[in-house]
Amino acid sequence: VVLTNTTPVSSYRGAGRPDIAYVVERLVSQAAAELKIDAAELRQRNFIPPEAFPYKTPTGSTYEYADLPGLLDKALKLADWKGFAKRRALSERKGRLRGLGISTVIENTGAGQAPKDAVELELDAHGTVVVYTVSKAQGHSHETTLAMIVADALGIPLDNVEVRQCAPGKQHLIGGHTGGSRTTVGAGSVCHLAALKLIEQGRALAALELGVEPSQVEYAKGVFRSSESRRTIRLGDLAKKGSVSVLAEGKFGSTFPNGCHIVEVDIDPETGSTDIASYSTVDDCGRVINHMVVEGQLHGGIVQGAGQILGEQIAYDPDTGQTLTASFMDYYMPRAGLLRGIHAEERATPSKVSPLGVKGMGESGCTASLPALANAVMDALRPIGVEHLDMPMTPARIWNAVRAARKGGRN
Amino acid sequence: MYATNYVKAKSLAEAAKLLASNPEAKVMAGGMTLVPTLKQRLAKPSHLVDIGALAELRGIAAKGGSVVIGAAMKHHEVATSAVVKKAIPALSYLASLIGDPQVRNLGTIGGSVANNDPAADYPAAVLGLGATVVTNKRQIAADDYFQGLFATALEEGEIITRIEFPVPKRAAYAKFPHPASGYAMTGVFVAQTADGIRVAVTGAGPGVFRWKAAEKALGKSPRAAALDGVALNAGDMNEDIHATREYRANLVRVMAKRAVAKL
Repeated sequence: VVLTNTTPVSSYRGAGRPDIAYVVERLVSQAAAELKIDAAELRQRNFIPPEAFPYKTPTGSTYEYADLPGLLDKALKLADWKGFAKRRALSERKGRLRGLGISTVIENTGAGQAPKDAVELELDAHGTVVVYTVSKAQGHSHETTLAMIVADALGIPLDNVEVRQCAPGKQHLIGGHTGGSRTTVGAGSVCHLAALKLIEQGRALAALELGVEPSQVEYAKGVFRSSESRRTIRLGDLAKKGSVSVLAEGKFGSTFPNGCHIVEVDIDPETGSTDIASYSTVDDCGRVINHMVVEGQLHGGIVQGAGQILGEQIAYDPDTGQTLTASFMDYYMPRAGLLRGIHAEERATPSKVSPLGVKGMGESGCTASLPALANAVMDALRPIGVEHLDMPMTPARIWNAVRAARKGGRN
Repeated sequence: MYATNYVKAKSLAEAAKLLASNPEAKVMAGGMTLVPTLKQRLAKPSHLVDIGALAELRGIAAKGGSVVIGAAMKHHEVATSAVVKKAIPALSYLASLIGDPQVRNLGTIGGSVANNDPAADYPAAVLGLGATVVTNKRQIAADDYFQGLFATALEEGEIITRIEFPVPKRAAYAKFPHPASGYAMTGVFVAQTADGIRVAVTGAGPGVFRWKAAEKALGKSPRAAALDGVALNAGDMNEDIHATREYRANLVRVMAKRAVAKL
């Protein structure tokens, strides 16, 4: 194609993960249905056992560790998997079709093409630490997460740390861009190292001030002290004659977050509309820096996946090439009311890839929600004879499938 | 948006005069349809004559078996009016389903009825209840007012001042919202009036219409089951990327049955 008027295709949250997870997880659930085996049990039987980690995959990645059976077990309880038959019967009585969908996914995060991640810290006389990073948030809350990492390592209040991303004059900093769920693994870990480096550098400066050896200086909560001296030196004191800068860098490899998402849908066969009745997740993204940020990422990803499954598409007029979904009058955008609640729990197994023990998780939500939702819709429709549906599973498409199945024909 | 002249009318008479002397002028109230149209340069009016705040077009009152709603009353005001809730709860429910909170706090009933979008909610209530559209020149019965896709009986420069809804014995509205826009993919208003049952359908066809075969069937038996098998021509429905004619025809029947069940 030399010229086109269609929308350019580029990477989108998850890029490469949701698409693969979608195919694999739909196939596994289809296999379970055809083998008449419980969809969770088929997964459990085929999990890599915990003792097989670190596990080298045929394609060359090495999974560090994952407790897949433990994660699944927790998710099944959270979603009351065993109580589904009762809930399905209740829906049936109301003339509705209830479906139960599951996905168990593991994905490659972190790493990246940049040769290293560099972070600069700048300490001023007020004791404020400015963190300069290359990784730039687009709603990812780097301002909170990276600041917490630095504040935690330095033992100072969060208010004393300020994150500046892609700041002018800091072009010498090298690092991975935001993407691939890598900022906390890469830039975040270097923030931690930079803070430790600031303490070490400060220890030497404080030792000079106190007239003792650096090894005789202790640091805690923003204050250097020594048993050899009555004086103490605050972090900010080090910058009295000018700000103190520390540059740290590091390169960290892939981390493999994993999760189990279980979703129930309730379909109105008369209109084809799908109601998401419940959504439960258990995720292992390693050590969590900020639970609210992690949940926010998860929620956004899950709803993004729900949009793709239930409605989003770009349509063109086949005769004229005109975009038919050029505004939100025609382009389906998932809204807040689509998903009324998410029961999200964690089952963390810390990673040893980086000093923080974190795993990337910005794309976990959509990676797992796409197949889980599609599997739930299929589970609802399979008993009446629907064999296959592609996304987007719009009300009109579901109604057509229901009608075709009830007529006895294939869809 | 093209340059235009915004005029806030001080009276209905002044608004009418402005429209008469400027053939390219457009009347505006909430602007919920007109402003997006202007932004996309799909209209180039010489003047925007704002009648949204005119006292003559405001107010909701119960009057001798009718509920009279001023043309400039906003959807939110109709949805929350104690008078409407008491006399025609189905109408306040319908108003509560229009657009989103921003739209409901700006858009007006007169604007919606004048625009006659084929997927708007209000036309279903106006036609379903057999309301009267009152303008600065005359009174128009709902059955004569709606004339298909964005077409009405309004003449150039004619301004809706109020709508008079006869209070029905019972009425109900059932809507299947368009998944993207929230407009009615299909909305059915069913009213049991002194003259019999009326069934008005919006969203499904090129304009709001009465499903007369359903009215006849419900006249014999006002139950949802009476609509099974009642003639409805899918060929009369709209078809687009969102829904086939058959799907829309199905929604008409399903929503009609649900409205009847709510009566």
